[in-house]
Amino acid sequence: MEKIVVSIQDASVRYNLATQKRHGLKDYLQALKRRELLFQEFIALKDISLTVRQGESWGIVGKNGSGKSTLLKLITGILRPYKGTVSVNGTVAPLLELGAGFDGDLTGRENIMMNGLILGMTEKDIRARFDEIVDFAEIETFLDVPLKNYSSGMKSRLGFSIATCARADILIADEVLATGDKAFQLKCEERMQELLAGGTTLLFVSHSSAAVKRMCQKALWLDAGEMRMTGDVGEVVQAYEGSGQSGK
Amino acid sequence: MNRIWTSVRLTVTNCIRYLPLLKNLIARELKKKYRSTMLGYAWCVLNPLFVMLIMTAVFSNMFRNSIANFPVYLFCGRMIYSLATGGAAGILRSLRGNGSLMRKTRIPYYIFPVASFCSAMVDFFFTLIAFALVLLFTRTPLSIHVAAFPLVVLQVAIFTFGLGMLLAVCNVFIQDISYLYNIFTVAWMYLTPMFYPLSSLSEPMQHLISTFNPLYYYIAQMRGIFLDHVWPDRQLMLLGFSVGIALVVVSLLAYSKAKNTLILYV
Repeated sequence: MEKIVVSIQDASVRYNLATQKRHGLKDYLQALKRRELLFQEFIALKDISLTVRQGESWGIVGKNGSGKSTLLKLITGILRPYKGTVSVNGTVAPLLELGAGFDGDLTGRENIMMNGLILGMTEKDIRARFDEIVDFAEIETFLDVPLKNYSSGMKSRLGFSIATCARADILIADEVLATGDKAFQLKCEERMQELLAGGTTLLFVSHSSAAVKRMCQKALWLDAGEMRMTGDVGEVVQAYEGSGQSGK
Repeated sequence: MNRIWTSVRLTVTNCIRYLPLLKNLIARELKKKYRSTMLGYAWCVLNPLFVMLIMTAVFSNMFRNSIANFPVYLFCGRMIYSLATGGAAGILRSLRGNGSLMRKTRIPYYIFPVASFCSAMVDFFFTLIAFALVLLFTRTPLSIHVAAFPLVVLQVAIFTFGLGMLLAVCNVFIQDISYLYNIFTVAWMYLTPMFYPLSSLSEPMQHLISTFNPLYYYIAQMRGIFLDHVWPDRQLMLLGFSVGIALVVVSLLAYSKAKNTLILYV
């Protein structure tokens, strides 16, 4: 058996809704009294348990708002469990949003450095893989252009390119294929397959059941913050689609 | 004790690991401020210089004042006030301002206030060039006492970081802080003897300001060095360091208490 890289036990995550709707002064004062003025609890994930081994690829499916991104944030370490435990063995490259941390005023070149550092790469790594990053993103001629003048496709390609060149042990991809054209989607899938073949662990969120089936061996179905089913990708996706939740 | 030691060691290794990112964040702030301008980084020096010229013109002609070497007198005050209040304002915004990054990536939050503090210090060193020019034009003689200048800067730097960090943590939970701070700095400006001598105020007011306004401690030391050619007053220096260190300690305690829940509020 391969070693365990992600181990989640009975983890719950809570969020702050920060509701802004207040009906007048009375409501405001009542919220203040209940200590809910700045914090209204919302349990985004309930009693999740998951064990991921090295080299596995997991698809996470579920409706919008079912807690998929929250689960990825939990594994990345951005959110902490409010109950239960999470332990992660290895480096994580989170792609929770293509180009998270990009700065429109900086050039492509500067953003590559900045984003690589944010992902935990060293300056040396980034320089060594600079050409590889640029090649994949196909932005050679725009390297010294501020990022705000890039097309959204270029930004997506660059974000994906940096994250996959970070060579982290665990790649976390949230809806990365949703933007971009067919050619880009194919290219991304190919890249992820290469990484998987090299022993990277993949956690993959997508609304495309077909993509999940192509990319992943295993799947987890989340529904309103709770686990409905885990197991072989075929069975889980079939059950999910059968439930009518996938909209098919 | 052991736990504290481990956490200190962890923080230090983390700091070293994130040093290149810190460097890039500082460079980013500077680049964004000046890159798209025609004069570029010259603005770092020109900006404080022009503000100074205007204030000198206003206060030495409109209000006939009797302060000798008014440009240097004013600059000493203005420099310290800008570093402390401007620097703290930048740090105040740094946590909330980088919320989107904090929600999408995993970097220690303290890197943002630290980067903001460092870029304020870089701006301050550009201001020093303007100050040097003013000293040159006014033919202000310098003495050995200038050697104590870095110690004064150190006091202000500690104070600025402590104040900014404390405000930044509070501002995550209560956003009104940033508005209150803006109002506060206006009052602070008039309560700091920047363009008037302390002696022009009433006795009780003089006492209040020289006791409770930390900026006075720093500005008085500065003027002693550059205008009166004396070493900084020991008591002022002690007060200056104590206030700053106390603020840093309180702010770090607040940060360490808040860091686990911070993400739910930004």
